[in-house]
Amino acid sequence: MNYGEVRQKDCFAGCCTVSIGCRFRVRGRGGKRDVLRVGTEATFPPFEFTDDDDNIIGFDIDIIEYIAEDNGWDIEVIHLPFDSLIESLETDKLDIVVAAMTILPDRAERVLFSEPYYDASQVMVVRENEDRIFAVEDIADLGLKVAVQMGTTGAFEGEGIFGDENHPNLKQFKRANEAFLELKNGRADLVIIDEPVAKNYLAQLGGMKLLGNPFTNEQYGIAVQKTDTKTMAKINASLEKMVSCGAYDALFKKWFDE
Amino acid sequence: MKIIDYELIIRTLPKLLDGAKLSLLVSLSAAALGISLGVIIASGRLSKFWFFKVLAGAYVAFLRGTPMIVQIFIVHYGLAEFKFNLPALASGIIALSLNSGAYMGEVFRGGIQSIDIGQTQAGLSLGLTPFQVFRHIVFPQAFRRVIPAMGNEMVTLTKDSALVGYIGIAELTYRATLIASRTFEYFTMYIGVAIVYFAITYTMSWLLSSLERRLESR
Repeated sequence: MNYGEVRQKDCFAGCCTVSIGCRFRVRGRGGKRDVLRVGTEATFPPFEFTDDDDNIIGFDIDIIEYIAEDNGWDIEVIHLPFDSLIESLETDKLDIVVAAMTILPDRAERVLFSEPYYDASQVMVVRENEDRIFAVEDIADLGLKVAVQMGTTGAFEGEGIFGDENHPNLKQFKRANEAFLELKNGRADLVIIDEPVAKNYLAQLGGMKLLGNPFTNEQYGIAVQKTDTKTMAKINASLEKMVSCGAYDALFKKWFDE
Repeated sequence: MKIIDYELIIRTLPKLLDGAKLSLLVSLSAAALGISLGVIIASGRLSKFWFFKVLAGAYVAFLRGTPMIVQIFIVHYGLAEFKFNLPALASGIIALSLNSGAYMGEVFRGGIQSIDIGQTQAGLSLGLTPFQVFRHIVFPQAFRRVIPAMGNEMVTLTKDSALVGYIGIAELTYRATLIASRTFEYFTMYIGVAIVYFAITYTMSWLLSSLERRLESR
């Protein structure tokens, strides 16, 4: 779908409703929207990123498009800062979030997660010329600067390491690529991020390497608004169908086979 | 290594211009609403009734004294918690208008107060009603005087429209940031975007100063 055009059309439509009180139009839809608003954060390849024409593509996008087609939904994919996604579901700015989002208890209190659809893990990325070998537990003692993406599990790991989300050695960025740039430019010593994303940026930017092994066990889920059990039932049913009919494997192969 | 990737700029220009249209839509709508709101605020501040005076004064103090991005988040995410849910574009325009109203209000107040009180007194003693005095004596002179300051505010508003990308409006900066995120061509993209913003704001300034000249020569 053409991301730019769709966004703009919606934006203009939104504008016209300002004067006639769009509060009433947007609320009270009871899950019966013409176009479902899907939120993501498009600097997270290969899960979600933009192609040369600014279309948002990736593993997650293919998954949600499959689910949408399965249920006859029209969707519109919206790029937002990762740390705004849950808030946007809660405040009814979005209907679905598919953003390589790890199912966490704190998040599950605020939104409804699907069955897990991907097993993930955090890794450490350092510059290629880094000769120190260290474990996650050593980061604080060594006084290393860590770059992470705000609101991600990588950021939560960082907060755990330093015991403080505002620690001066923990640099939080809105976008994943900015964390990698910080590392590349020498203003941070390592990045903590999901493994496939790390590999992707490694290949694109060069000059960096993975350090040690993946050190967390996480699962990604698709999220909807807390009370929207109806949409979630359909998402779960489609996910199950995807796996059993082999479509999931095909997508997995498409995005993760090196 | 090339410093500016012209090929990238040319290839992404249509997308950027689409974004620029949204930036313009947001800033011009906010300017129009801000001017209307500013008139109300200015009348409040110049009102004889202390209640309106205090209310308008407090409005200006609060809106000028808090960051625009905070105001945008309050309108977009904060209000939504109270079932006042606006689409991103509406939130963006409303937040910018509310902010601009405070500044425009001060601009108009300054303009009106700059017209010597003696002129009002002369008009009143000639038997004009207060409204007639405002309409035919104070307003035409004040309007000409506030054009430069109004222009400043419109330019500021255009630049501040870059902030609405944070709530998902695909304006100019938002698009450039996405492209830069993908290509890592930060210098190219942001220089390109800076030029587009400059073209917009320079045109605005030019239009307003020619309006000012036309009014002067009458």
